Amino acid sequence: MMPRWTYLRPGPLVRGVVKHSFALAACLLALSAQAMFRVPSRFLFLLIPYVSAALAFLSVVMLVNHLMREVRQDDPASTMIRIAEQISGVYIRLFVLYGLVLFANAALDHTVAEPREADVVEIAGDSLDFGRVPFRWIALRSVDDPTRVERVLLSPADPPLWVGEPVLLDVRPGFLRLPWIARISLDDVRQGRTILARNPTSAEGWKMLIKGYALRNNVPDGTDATVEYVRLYPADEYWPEVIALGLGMAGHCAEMYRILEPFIGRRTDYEFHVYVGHALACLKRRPEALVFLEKAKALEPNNWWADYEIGYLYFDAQQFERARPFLARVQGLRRIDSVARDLNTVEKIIALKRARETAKR
Amino acid sequence: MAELAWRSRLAIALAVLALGLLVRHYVAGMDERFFHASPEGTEGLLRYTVGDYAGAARAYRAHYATGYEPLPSLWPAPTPAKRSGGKPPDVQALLTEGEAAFTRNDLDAAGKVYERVLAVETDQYDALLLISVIETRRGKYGEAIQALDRALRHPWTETRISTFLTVLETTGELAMRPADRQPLCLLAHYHRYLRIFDHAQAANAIRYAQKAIAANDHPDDCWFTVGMVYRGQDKPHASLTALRHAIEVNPHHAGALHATANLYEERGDVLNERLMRARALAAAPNEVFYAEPLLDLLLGRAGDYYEALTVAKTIRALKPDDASATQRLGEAHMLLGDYAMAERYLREAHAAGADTFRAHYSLAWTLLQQRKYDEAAKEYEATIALAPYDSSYYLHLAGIYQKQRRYREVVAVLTRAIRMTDADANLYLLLCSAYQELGATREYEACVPQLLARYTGGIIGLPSVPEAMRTRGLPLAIR
Repeated sequence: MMPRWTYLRPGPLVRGVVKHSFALAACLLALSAQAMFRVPSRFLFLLIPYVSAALAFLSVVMLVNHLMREVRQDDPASTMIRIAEQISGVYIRLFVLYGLVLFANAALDHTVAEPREADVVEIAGDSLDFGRVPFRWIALRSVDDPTRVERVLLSPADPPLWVGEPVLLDVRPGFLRLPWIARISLDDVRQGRTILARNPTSAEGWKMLIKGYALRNNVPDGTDATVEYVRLYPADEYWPEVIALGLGMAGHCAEMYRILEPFIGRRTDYEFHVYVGHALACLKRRPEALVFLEKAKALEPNNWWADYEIGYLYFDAQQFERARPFLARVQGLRRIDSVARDLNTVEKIIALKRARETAKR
Repeated sequence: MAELAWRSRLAIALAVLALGLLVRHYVAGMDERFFHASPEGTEGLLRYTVGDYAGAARAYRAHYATGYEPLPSLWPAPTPAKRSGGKPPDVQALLTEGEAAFTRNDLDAAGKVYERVLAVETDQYDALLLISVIETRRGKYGEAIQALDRALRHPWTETRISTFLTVLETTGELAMRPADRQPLCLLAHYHRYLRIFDHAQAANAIRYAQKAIAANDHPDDCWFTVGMVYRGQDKPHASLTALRHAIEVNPHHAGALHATANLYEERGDVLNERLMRARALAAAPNEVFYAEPLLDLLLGRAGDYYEALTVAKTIRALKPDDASATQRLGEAHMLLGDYAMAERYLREAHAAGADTFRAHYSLAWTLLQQRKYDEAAKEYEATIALAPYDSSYYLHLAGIYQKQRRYREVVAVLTRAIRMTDADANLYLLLCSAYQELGATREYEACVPQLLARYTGGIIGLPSVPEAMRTRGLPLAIR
């Protein structure tokens, strides 16, 4: 009788299970690499996921085959499966290698994504409603080159897509010069334009257009669209204000002022006066800025914020004596390290000036 | 022999597994109403399984008659909106009256009772199903299809099991007719109804519909039924194809246009959704059912407030006592910036019973735009009481307090928000700012890391937390 421990020695069955489990895991990893780091293609790469799915399935069959110990080696079915296994082994290696190439192509790619416009011309599996099958693909027609139609695997992260939909592809060149798609998103600009062509008063159409321009960093068109939106919906103070603040944060002060300008005379709140004052000060239109900031101060004399803006308006104009009381007042109400530093600088400059004047005398 | 034995064992095991999966799949798609622990109930199930629906209905009736279970009322359908007039007649009493007349085979009397039910409660499901059965018995199949379509467009079902059994029996009687005398499209509709309780009926519905289309028997309604069955099976693309066929055959098929719009809505295609909803309303201009989704689209996803106002007025004219219609009219005025008018309608809607968080939120926003801060704060509190897990309402309320420079209240509201919701950077931005305004240095120092941990980009309103943003190297709101 054999000792019990000999059963634990890895025999052909265990080796087979390990081998196929490993192959299956490698296939799944390669598949996820393909779905994540998608390379558009006209034809070739479309086949690979299907081939890989078949191979993965075959691996499972192999696993079953190994578990059926009673099957004789010279059984024709067993021979057939063995040959298929050998062929599939070659495919699996190629497929996993390709997955690794795609992974390396994307993982080592540190370039910036370039937006590319495209239209969805076909969705595979449409009529079959294979909504949950992971390997659906779409055919995309490039806007720059309408003769070029490429196929791309769909990923669960993609937005709902339909035939005729304008999309924006974030394409990255790839470390191995294989351009890959980092993201597919709705093309807000073209979608917004289409909506507005049919319904020119659609507020959401305008917002979509403005968001699209913002994502493409197209400040002039985004500003024009926002101004038009303000003309159509003058009562909406909130949305234009958000856009104006965003522009202000990015240093586009002229555009910020252009959007706020239609509200002058209509809005009388403290914040609005500071926004306009801020935009004008940034544009170096200091006397006009001061008018708005003084109005704000009159509305809320104890609020530090207008003082902050006035202080820095003078600071930027190198009128340090004028800046000092405002910055000191800000610092008295609200301790801000940067203001403290600037105030210190102001004090030093003033002291230096005085020393120089004294020396001159 | 050993090989054969192994193969046989494997084949048997696979066959048993496949059979088990098939039975499980079939049974899993059936409602519990088909399963009763009684001889009559078992007979009903067996008859139903072999396709003898009339016999099944009679067996199920016998089951209820034996006293195993009382004849149950099913889950209640949504109650109609409150009416300002006198007390409406009791729908359930009217249904019982109609059932009695129907049992006497007095179809005219039963039909009149069900019309009264519909006058009290628009699209009452049982009444529509039974009107369909009455019209079927009269041989008016077109009218029967119309009544069924009206019922089936709603997500709820009948309130009485007796109604279901009547429809099941009628389906069985129609199916047993000779093939050349079967109203195929009507049968497709009845099977579409049965599909709600038994998913396997989808195949029957589609089969009858295809036959009806081939025989030119209400092809538009049949394509519509095919589309809706696919919709129920979560096959949006197949559904869309069938619905497009329905629209090709009859460009004024309001149901198909409406269902197509729903599919467009699901995929986010605002342009086509709007086109279809507008066409559905044009095809049935007096149907609030088609006007309401168009109004929702115009107020929300499309944001075309000028047209929304027109549609809102139309709906209100059709349903003058409906609080929700008044509320939406108020919202259309609000979005157009006519805040005084908006407040009037929204308060009217409140008085008529609109007590949803959306109603409070709309009124709060309207009041806020009119700088009526205290009243707006009260409405935001009411909104939060009804929807305590949405951070945006807390943010609005805190924003009001910030405008009033009531920073302690800002802190209180936002602390509550952080406890109740998934706190985002915006909450912390306002909170840190409030701490700084209050001079609460220790709290401010603790708040800033929380803000920075959540900040993922975006626009920061002035005044903000300049030091925090500077530390992170982010664009500064100020300077």
